Amino acid sequence: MSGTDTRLRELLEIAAGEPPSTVSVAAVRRLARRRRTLRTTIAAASAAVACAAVSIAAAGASGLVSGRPSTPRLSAAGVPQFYVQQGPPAANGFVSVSRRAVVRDTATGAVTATVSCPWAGAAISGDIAAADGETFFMACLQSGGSGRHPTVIGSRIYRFRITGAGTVDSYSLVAGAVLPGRAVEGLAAAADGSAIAMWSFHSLLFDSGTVLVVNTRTGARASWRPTTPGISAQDLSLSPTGRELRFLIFTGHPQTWVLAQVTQANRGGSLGRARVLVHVPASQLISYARLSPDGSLLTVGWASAQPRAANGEVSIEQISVRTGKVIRVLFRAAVPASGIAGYRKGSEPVGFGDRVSSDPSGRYFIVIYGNPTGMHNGWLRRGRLVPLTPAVAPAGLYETW
Amino acid sequence: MIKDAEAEGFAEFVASRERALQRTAWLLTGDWALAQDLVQTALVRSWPRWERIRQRDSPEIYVRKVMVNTWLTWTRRKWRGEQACADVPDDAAPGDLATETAVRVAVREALATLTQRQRAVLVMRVFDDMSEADVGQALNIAVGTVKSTAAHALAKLRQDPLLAGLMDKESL
Repeated sequence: MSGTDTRLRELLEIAAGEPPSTVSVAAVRRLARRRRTLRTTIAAASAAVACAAVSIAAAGASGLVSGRPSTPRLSAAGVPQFYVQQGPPAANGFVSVSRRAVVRDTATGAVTATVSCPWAGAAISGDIAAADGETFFMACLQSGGSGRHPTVIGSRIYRFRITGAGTVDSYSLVAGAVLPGRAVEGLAAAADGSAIAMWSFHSLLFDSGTVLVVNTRTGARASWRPTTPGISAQDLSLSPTGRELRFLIFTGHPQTWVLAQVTQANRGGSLGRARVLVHVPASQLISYARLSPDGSLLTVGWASAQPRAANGEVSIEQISVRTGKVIRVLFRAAVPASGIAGYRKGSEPVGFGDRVSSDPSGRYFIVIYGNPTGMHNGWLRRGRLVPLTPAVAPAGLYETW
Repeated sequence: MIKDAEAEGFAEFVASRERALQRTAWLLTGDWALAQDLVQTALVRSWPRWERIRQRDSPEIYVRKVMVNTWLTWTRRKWRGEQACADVPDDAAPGDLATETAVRVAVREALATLTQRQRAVLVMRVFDDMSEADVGQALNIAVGTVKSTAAHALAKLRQDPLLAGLMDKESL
């Protein structure tokens, strides 16, 4: 090797430095298995397509083809055919993490696929966000340390798609969503998948965080600062095209929740610039607030928090954005306090909770509600809950279409 | 089906060589996230054939060949699918950060001026210390082409004022 080569090699050595993380054998094997399964699926699908083509050609020849587009992701009732379910998370400082999520068939409850982080050593943090019902986003967190001193190594956001057969066809790293030294929570996605929003923390403890909006096509990022420390924007959501960022704030005086919105979510700045869309006068704990795709209706899910109440109550209501009035109660149910450890009549009700999510059309809702002794799990059809699997869910379960 | 001993051998190979592979991958891609994905993809592609690969003189050359060819395929795509952002890690780095950063930036910029083949040849020949024959075999080109490509690549790097300055220095 010549002197020039030796010198260049030294420079290359310095430049390459040390890799920040390792590639594990387990991850390689998992990906290889997935690739093999995918290849088998593609081969089977190709055979099925060939058969179908022959059938269609035959049907076309006999005049039986209707020409109606197929809707493989919807069941006969128009309900999304598959849902993503995340098990109860383990707390890790601010951020909740779960190793595994599954895809289930809405009608049968059968598990059709497993969702796991493609990043070696990482766990899914926070809730998986649905875009158009086929495309989903998840945050993967690598953390170190333990107990009271968890440390953040970094997060990455991955996109995955659920096929018409309920399998996960691939994971791809989202442009601009490699976040060294940051943890992520409260992920939300625009319906067209063009943008995602999330809370981003530099530490798992004692960090007020900022809201990041990432353009998934260009990788451009915008950062939004919270207005008042301690009063955080909750339940982030994005408009269908990702242009507007929406969030809930509890104002406290008077007892009112506010759904606020910033336009040009890709610009960044202060959340104080947000415009109030609708006031929701309620002392209840609102866990869910989404605008309908046309922006005229706000659906809220709340659980009661009335002092001296013997039982709790959960409700899902639709509010007119124009008038601020409740125009429809989609679901209401009492939650008995009996059986809750430590509960006594006259104290603050503890543990009444609900998790709500909707399909992209905003017509169908998944509701999980109850108290820590048992959560009812199902989707709403004409004010009644059609059970999902498991019908009695552990606290902390999350599902989305 | 891969037998246990082969699986173990593969695990040992990954454990011992993945960091070196990642460093080569960084020199090719200029981005750690992409480098990690590249190494992972090359290993995923190599694993089903490990029984045959391990019987060769050097399985590493085969894996590097897969890695470089995978990278060349990625660079040929008009749409890369993902663009990793240029994030500077927030945590403190050990060593002389200023010098390392200056070298890293200079090397990355200089390598970016090379063609894909020049870059692959240079990294394999100079950084991985592979013989001209092995580089030729990995990239499916003649030894003479390896020599001329490496010479052209070096000449081009010499024209980069920042890198040329660093190369002329005795030490950093």
